[in-house]
Amino acid sequence: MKSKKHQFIKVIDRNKGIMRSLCQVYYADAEDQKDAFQDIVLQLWKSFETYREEAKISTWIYRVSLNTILSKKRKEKKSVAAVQLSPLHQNISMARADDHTELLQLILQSLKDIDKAIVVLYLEGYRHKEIAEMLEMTPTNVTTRFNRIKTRLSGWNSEWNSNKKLNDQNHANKRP
Amino acid sequence: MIKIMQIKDLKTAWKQLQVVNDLQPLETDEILLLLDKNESLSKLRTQRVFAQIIVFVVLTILCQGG
Repeated sequence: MKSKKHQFIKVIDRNKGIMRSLCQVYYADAEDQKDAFQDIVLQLWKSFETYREEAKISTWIYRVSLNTILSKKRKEKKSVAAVQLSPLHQNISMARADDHTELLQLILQSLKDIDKAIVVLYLEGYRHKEIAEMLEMTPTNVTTRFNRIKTRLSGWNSEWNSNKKLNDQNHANKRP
Repeated sequence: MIKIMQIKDLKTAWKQLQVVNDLQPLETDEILLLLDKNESLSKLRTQRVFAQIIVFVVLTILCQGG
């Protein structure tokens, strides 16, 4: 049992980047992120026994993590998603490595919970069919939702560019 | 010139976010504690169900006597 636990810890340690990133995508508050992380760990532990190495370990992590978060979100019934988002007013607490990371966070924050999962899995390189399997949806549903997100991206692009321009101007004005 | 962003352009950003989050060490003790807590909780739950079954059986036997 002890060695099994240590084996499990090793798996978690190797994939903690994925798990923490998913928690950040769905929860803005650090405490909520910690709670979600613990819930994911427990669910992974429960299904660790039944995990067969037919699937990639990261696929299993994504499947369990996303389904845990989605069901947690459903229970909470909070409408945190689709909030008004403007880079000018949002305080982004996550890592601001570059413009793309910032844009990614803004896009994900403005999406519905299920759409966030679709985008994240797409970014990870999964095909629509695989995403559908992982999220227990039909491939058509995934494709439709994905196309809608892509259409919305053009709107985000213009908002992002105009706000960035405004921010740059503000910075330039502040300089002595 | 303004570049039009596509979702696939954000793949690197997603990887970058993971790398940043992977840098923080894992609190192993906390996880082990969480697993132990969960184990003892489920043990307790099983014990409680078992005790309730026994009470139910005893009561059923006693009630049949009348």
